[in-house]
Amino acid sequence: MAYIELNQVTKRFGEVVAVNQLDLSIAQGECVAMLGPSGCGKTTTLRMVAGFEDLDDGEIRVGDKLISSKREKYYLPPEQRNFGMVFQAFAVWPHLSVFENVAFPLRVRKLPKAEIVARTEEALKHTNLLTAAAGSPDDLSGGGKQRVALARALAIRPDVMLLDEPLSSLDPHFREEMRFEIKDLQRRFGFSILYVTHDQSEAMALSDRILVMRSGLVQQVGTPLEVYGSPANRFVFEFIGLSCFLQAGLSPAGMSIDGVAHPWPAGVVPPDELVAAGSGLLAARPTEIDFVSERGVRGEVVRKAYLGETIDYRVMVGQAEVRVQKTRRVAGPAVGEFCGLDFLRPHWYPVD
Amino acid sequence: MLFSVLALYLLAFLALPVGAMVLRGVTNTEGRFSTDHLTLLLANPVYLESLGNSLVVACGAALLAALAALPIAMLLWRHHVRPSIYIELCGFLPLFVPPFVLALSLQNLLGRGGALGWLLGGDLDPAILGLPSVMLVEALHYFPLVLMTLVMTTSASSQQACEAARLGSSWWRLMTRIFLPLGMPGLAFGMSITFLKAMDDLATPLSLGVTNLLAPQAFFRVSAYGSQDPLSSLIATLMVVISALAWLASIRLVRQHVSWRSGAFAAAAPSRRQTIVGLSCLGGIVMLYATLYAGVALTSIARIWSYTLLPESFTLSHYLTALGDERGSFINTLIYCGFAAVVDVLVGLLMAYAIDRAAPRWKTGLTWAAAGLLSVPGVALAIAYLQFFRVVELPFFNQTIDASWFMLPMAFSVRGLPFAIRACTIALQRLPKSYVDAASLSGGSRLRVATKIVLPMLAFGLFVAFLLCFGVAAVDLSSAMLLVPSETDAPVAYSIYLNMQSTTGRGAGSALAVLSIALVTLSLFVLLALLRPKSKAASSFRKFVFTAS
Repeated sequence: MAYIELNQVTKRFGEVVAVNQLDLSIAQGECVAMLGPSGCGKTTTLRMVAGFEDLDDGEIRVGDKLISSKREKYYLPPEQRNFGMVFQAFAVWPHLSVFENVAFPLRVRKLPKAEIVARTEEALKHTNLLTAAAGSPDDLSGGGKQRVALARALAIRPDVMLLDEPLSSLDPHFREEMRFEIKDLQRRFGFSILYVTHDQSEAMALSDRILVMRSGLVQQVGTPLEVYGSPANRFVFEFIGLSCFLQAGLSPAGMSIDGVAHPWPAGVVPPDELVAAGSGLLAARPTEIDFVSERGVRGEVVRKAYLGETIDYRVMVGQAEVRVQKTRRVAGPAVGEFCGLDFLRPHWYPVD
Repeated sequence: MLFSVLALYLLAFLALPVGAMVLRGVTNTEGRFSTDHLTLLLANPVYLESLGNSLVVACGAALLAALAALPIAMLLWRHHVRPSIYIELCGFLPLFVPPFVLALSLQNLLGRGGALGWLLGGDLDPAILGLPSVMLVEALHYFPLVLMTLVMTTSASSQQACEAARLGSSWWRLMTRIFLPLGMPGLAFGMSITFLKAMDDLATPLSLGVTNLLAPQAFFRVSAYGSQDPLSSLIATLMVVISALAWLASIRLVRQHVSWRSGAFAAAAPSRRQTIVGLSCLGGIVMLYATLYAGVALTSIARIWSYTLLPESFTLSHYLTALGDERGSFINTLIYCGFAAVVDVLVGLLMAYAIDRAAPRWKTGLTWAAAGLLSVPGVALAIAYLQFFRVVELPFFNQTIDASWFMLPMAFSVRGLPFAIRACTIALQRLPKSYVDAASLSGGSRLRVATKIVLPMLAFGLFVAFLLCFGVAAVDLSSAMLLVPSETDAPVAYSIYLNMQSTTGRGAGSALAVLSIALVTLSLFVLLALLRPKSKAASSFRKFVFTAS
């Protein structure tokens, strides 16, 4: 059952529509990642959920409670929503100790002193910060500061945790570690997470579902596997994972690239409507292309780069470049050699 | 509500007085537009000469300071010598020390009976030279500022640019193609400040007996004919127009972004030889200024000093006199400058916030308009206040505002506003929006968020803004000389000037000057010491002067 519901949520900044009629349901304890390039509207959506931005249309509900509605002109202030939030810039106050940072929201709520201490210590314990409690956040690393922000958000026992690119400012090593810590905390406390990121690996690792946005519009909502394996459109395909595209002329007899006819590679069956339209865009992941000696789309290897475990090939098919990645154990063609390409899990999209 | 107060302040203490002053200069007694006063002004050779002289002094001082700074900055740049943040800070001391102190120090040193004058066997009092000596004193006074702004902007990219450009380039090509374009924001900033300050300076020319400049002429007109004199309005308006044009001309160059990031590739650290050359150069400059100010320093401890290289006997009595008899001027300074600095911090914070929240297309314009307040000369503002507030009565005090000391801190606050806005902008930049959002989301009321999170985080930045504005106000003699209602109401800078005008007061005046310079230097260094780590302090300081990219 949906716990957080965004219905037809819209936000405009002057002429620009930052978020356009967004619908989203998040279940209790679910983690949904909003993924998209800069300026796609994901942070604006998060800020609308937090209550920092008004809605220009639509409504947001948490449980049975309405928290923002344009039509009913209702707006619950951020401080009354019982949401925890972690920001990209940590937002840990340097003039307060680690303990006081975490205790601040509890003091604001005027809880009894003993409860403030108990809940603060509990939050610090879960984030491995008990030993640093008396110190200044300035003495902590980026990861440490982000833990303080997490502990502060946890201390209020939030219904929903809003995470705005919380790992972007961390070193890659800490980033990976923190991903698992966040997931672990979510399992333990059972809150729902709305997670904003532009890093697809973060979204894949953390979330139950991913919402991909572009220019304020939702492109696809699905599990990480669905979004990666069955991208709804060319944008999603290109945005998630490595990709390469071949524009092909299509006819019932076969396909042509740059005027050169190629036989249908095994498994390459374009949808009938694209064949009827006469052209289509063949999309493939570089790891899902095989070299074949017979049949396949013919091309010339123009570059070959060793990337440690994998070898990265650039194959020219007519004027188009196709990227192929194979493990170093697979013997591939040499530079200058002609080869056939077999597309293992091809996707077809209309030409823009 | 707060923004209404801000608008009221700007209207009452800037737009209306200056607007009324301009109108008075270009309208006749019936209130119609008229060129009568302008014709009168242009017909009088004294004013024409003053206009020319002011331009010559301001341009000459800026040019001389730049010509002296360029080769030294180039030398430091080529030798990869980057002065420490303390040395950079010393370059900004001219903004907090009145230039007439240097003039009087040189008179003590070079004049008849002075150490060098006696040694060189003649009277070398700079006052004999007249106009050139004013230009020279202003150039000498502001030279460290021009040098340091130039060094700051060029050394920001010395490692990449110098190493890359040296490959096969002649020194002239290196200077014109690489060094000058890199240093242009700093050079333009330093030169424009020198121009504006020299144009506005009243005490230095008067100390050197030079009166045929715009500022002294406006001062004399007000002294002789009263504050309602239309010609003084016109002269002040001319000063505003010239200063504003100079500022506008420099904006294009000053506003170029300067990158403070460390080099993309690290060049080798300066060799021993390069370090020695660089440090000798900087040491030489420090020695030169120690010598230049020795006149004031020695006078402050001299019991008898006449026709000898050094004083015949020493005493600390001048300091005791300064601290005893001039206690009132210290208190006055604390009141005026403290009041002005508090107003500056409040107004500056509001303006910085408004600029920060402005639409992107307005932001740059508003930032530079705020900095443009630098081009309102103190003399012009004082004349505008005297005219505008003549009829306005001070509530509860039963006297008109122009007869009270109230105008002085208000004038100081307007003059300090560009510094306050810049400092508050940097303070606000160090408080990202997410820090306030996090506090709001924690459940705090606006008041609680303001008192527990926002103000403590801004406190240091606001303290810096306060000190800056206090320092700028403390040396603003151009406004003070016109707006101080009586000698007992004088701030320290004016007391130094008054003491130095009499032979009996030179010792106490010099002691006051030394104390003031020491206090300003100490405050700046303590402030810097409080900023940790040093790299943070340096970056804040550099970004205060130039926009970072």
